[in-house]
Amino acid sequence: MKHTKRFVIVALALMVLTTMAFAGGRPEPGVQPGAAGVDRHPEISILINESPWLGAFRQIVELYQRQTGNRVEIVGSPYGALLTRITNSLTAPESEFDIVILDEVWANQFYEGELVAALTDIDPSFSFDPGMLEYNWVTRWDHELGTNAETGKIYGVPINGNMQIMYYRKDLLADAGFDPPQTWDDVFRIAEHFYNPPSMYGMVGRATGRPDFGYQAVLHSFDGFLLRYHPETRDWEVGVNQPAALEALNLWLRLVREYSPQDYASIGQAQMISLMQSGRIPIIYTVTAAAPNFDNPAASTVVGKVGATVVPGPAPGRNAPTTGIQPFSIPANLPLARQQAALAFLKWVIQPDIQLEFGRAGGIVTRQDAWEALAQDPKFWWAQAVADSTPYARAQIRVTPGGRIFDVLEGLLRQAVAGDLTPQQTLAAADREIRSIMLDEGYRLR
Amino acid sequence: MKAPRLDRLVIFSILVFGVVVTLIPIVVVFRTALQLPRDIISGGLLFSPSLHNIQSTFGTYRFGRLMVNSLVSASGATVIVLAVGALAGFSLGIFTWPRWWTALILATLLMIQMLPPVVFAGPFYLISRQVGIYNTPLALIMAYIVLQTPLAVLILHRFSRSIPGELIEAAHMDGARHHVVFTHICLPLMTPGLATAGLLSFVFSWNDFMFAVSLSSTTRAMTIPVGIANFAQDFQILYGNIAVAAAFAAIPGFLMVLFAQRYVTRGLTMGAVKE
Amino acid sequence: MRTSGSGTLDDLFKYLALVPLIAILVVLVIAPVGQLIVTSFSRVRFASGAVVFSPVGLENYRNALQDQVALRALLNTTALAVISVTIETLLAVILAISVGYVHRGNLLFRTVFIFPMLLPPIAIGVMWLMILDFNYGVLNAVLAALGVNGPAWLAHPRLAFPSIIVVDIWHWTSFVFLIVLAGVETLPHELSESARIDGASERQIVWQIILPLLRPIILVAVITRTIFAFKVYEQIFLLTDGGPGNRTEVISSYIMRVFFNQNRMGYAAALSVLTLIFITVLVIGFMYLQSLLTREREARS
Repeated sequence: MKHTKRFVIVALALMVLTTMAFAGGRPEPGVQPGAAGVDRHPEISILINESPWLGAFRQIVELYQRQTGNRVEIVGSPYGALLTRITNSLTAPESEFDIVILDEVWANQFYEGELVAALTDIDPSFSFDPGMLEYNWVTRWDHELGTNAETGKIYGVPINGNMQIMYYRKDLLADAGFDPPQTWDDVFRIAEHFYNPPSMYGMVGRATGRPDFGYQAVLHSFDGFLLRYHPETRDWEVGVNQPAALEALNLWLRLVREYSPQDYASIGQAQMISLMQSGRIPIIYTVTAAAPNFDNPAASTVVGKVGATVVPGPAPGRNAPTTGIQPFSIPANLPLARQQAALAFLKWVIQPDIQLEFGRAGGIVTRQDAWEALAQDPKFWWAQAVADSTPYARAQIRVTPGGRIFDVLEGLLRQAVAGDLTPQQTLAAADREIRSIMLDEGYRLR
Repeated sequence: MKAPRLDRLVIFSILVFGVVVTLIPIVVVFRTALQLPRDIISGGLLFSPSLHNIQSTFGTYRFGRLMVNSLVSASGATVIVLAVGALAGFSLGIFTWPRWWTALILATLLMIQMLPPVVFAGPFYLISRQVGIYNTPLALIMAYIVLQTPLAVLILHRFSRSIPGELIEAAHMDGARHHVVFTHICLPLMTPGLATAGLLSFVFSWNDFMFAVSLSSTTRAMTIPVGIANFAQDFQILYGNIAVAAAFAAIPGFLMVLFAQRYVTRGLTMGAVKE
Repeated sequence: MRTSGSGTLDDLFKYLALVPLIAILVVLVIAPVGQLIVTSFSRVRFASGAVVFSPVGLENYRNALQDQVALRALLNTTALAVISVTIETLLAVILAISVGYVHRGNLLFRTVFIFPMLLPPIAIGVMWLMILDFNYGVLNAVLAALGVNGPAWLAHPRLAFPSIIVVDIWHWTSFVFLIVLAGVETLPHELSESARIDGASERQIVWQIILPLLRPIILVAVITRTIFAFKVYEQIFLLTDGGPGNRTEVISSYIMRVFFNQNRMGYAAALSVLTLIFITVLVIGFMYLQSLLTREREARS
């Protein structure tokens, strides 16, 4: 009995002590003039997802702190929990973060709802210089049209310029006399040549965890589309039930299934990259951010053997790599002083020389000049492919219910991969679902 | 209990088989923890062991700090859950309440268990921000109290009902007050129940991801499951780091089970069995 | 009153002891649950920098009843719950009774059988991925060494769901075991001893004395486990992410996606309420069935 009592007392005392230890707040320095052309600002915190390029971003933040004396806290989060945290923070009386990282797919709901601040509301003189890549206006939102357009307000800066590129094994392709693939036919020829299971496969695609991301590159290369805005009639056209979409789906299903390991239905982005790292696949197309993974000696058996080119199309020049941009935005529910501190950082980070530093550290930059400069260095063997992809870059769906549409599309595409739906059934269902979502969200359809 | 030799052989084979099946995946964890990432994804059976994962887990990712946070949150919540649960269990089990009242409370507690945790995540976030405990272990303790109290009350309620009425009567005859009866008679008799409820409350708090991720943002309060989720990234799943984390995450629970054995074994519901 | 108190403050102890629990329920539970119910009858959007609730009546509930994905997820979850809880209970009862018979190594067996519950679910997902993955899993590596080409355990249309069940059983048998063991340890020895003296075989003792005595505790375990089974999410996310197709889609991950990815909080709330009702019906049905069987059994004997 005595023991129980003593235990309870000790436990309570421990709790009180830990509470005291954790209860201290963080000091907030006032605004003072500082070095490097950036004013002194209060400390800011940035919510960002854990990823291979987070290390590069940390280096840049270190540089900012050294140059300006301003303090920045980085809050790393699992990608899967990002939306939870952003939704929590942006709907609270005051946001806990000063900058949040968004995703091209679901950023628009926050722009449209004005949960993040228009940068010109913080600083009316804010604008992008022409060297900045805007990726089909990914951070501009036109409230009237309900889509991303040049006419829209600027709600953030693109920070992670992720774009699909085609990765290939330089050594294997050269030995077998192949050039880097330019067309889908090239891809199948290479896949067929190397397909020799279980030691080697020909090609894998992203069949789960946003399979639509892979499908869109094929769809757009066939001049198909999911949704298109017609300015003259001010309405939207759903394109998933058109012949180009079917042709693209059939081809994509071959890419995903035909020369893949038997578990193709459960292969997502991480598994695709692992298969390339373990040397069991000669070609894949996926995001730029994957590139440094192939050169990590602890994780990869193909260090120095991977090259990159533009994602192929039906014919040379008909390429349509999809972007997966992550913008940085500033919460609307913040006092102006904190918003200004956040904007000061954003302005600093998109400067040409800082972007170059970011790229050299392994970041996925958002300036064409930075990509071109990086391409001079063989260490960044992927940079030229990205620079070459810029003119072809295609956006994902750009309406408010992006997340909702892709979630439904993912479910349908996965059933197509598993053979539960025929390609025709898949697209007919997608057409029906996208229409009902668009109408539900108040868009006009033709 | 004693059993004939043949039956004993059958029983022993069943148990040994159970142990082997339970342990194989755990062996895989230790194996993965010692493999370099490139060996993990190449799928061979042979590899040369490396400390790479252990170093990066505790170095780069500050896993030690996460363990402290987990320990503080889970044990803090468990202590309060047990206190609340024992009192409520005592009140509901020893005294006479209208049937509808007991039923209402028990049904509410079951309902809390049935709701998807996400229902509480948003409101708790706002509460913890308003009270100023966001991103401290206190916020997690608050959440785990709500989530783990129901099971503890259900368990301890059953236990207090199994306490023989004569014992309590006798104590009252000797002039003991209710709170003395509670501390000197009921609590000792409920020790097995406290141990079971405490173990479950600790383990479920320890393993929670949903609240840990919505109520903490930095290593100041972040717990092990969030750290593990940080290893499962979009472009790469850091299997080795996850294996190291899993191995170390199991240690406190393992120690608790070892020490709590003699109490836990007396189990959940002597009440239920006797009814 | 089973007991008689003395003094007014002392009489209050009955109520005072319940105050902490009621306080928790009032302060931390009523508001979220109330909000859930209001949300389930609303459409929630972001507009002009705020979260706007507009009432839509029963629309969310009507949509939910026609939602094929939700139906599929609910059926999968129910199948997962029924199959895995049944097997887990069988295994746990066998193991717990067996442990009850053993004296040497008793501590070792108990500790090992409780162990899986101690691991974080997300780690269990990764652990089984390292075993079952087609390309780098240990299982297929062992099979390959034996000259067999292993299948895609997590991606094959017929194997994915059984694989998930195997993982669930490995994980959660420990929980049922812990609870049932508690019952076994508190069994009154006198009954089985006297039966043994009367010449009953060990099998008869297990079937006719031990199991009937264990029934209430097994019931507790089954109900709690069934409720937990409807929350399964993290390990499936890593193992199959609901695939192939939607064969391993479960309701809790669907609700999470509707809530955050689809940004439809009202609809997610309605799905939560309907799931709650569904589990309640399931549990009450099970308890009713159980009491029927007990009564029938008692009537016979």
